[in-house]
Amino acid sequence: MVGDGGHLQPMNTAANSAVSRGQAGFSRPLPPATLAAARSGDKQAQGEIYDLYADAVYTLALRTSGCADQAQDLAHDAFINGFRGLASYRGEAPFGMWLRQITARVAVAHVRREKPRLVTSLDAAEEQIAHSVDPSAGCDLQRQLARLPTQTRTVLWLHLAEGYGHEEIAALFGKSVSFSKSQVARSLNRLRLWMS
Amino acid sequence: MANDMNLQGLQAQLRQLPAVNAPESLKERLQASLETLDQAPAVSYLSPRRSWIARPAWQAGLALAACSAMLFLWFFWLGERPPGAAQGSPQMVGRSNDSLSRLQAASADLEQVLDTQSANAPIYGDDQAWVEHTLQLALHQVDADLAESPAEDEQVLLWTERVALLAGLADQSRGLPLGSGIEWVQLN
Repeated sequence: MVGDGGHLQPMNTAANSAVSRGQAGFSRPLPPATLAAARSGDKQAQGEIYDLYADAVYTLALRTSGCADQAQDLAHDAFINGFRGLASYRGEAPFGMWLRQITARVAVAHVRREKPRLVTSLDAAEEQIAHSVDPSAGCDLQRQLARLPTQTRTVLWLHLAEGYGHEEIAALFGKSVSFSKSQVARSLNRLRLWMS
Repeated sequence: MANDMNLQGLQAQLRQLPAVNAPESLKERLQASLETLDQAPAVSYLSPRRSWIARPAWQAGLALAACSAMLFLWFFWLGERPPGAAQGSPQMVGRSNDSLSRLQAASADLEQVLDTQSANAPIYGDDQAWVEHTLQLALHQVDADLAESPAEDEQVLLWTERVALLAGLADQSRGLPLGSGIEWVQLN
């Protein structure tokens, strides 16, 4: 159910390729009629919301978790939380940004639950990369990102790609601003080292 | 690429990474989950604070159980200290009453935390609903037991359990893992 004049935009356009398309996906406008219908439990409207933001949510989940399976879980939970929490959406921010915040919370909650994993060998790192990186986008930066610890990668992505401030990240993680800053600095140093 | 690796360069590169298409299976899974949730019985009649709950799962239930067990063990340890620890102490008579009042104060504090907590957390799923449902049922049972005016020792146990359950709800409302934010109630 789409409102008058409201229509779904194509998910992957050339215009979006110049910026983070995941981020651009979150800024897509949601027709008010679709939101109203989804709030009343209309499955078709919920499907349209999914179609509109699925790639953005999944991309954020994948970039932060670094693992396709986990990204599916996170994206699933984010949409469930979003649909179940539609009543609490007050419309003060664009819907996509609200959904992005939910996705970020789910991703951070995952990081906080996850036990620290240490990649102990190059083989293990390669195996992790093979399971986590989209093979169609064989970018060196993506491979190096996958080597970062989940927490560090999450902070880095939220700050640099999604534009979260250090204060916002600190609040999400329940830690200090210094924590966010140090994670970004550390990841920058590591990426510099790995890519030099 | 390494030459561009300052903060701005990295930011530009990250933002140029392509979006990844969500797999088809995700939509099917989501639809199945939503249908299941729609068919699940409502629990909101027991959960006026349901929208505050921010996380749990079975791990959270486990943490709550561990937390409760620690409180009970601690209480029993206090109750079974070597006689020398309590002998000759004239305060022994007033101990239970003092413990009760402290537990009741802790319980009231936690209820106040729950009543004043912001209710904006949009994260809420079926797991959260069921965990809170369980906690609320337990709380309801404790209150019912307390209403029957049990003996003083039993009252202390029930109030201890009440504090543990409220602490669990308060932890969740603050997005903390269950048991992480609990403060010990100093009994005698």
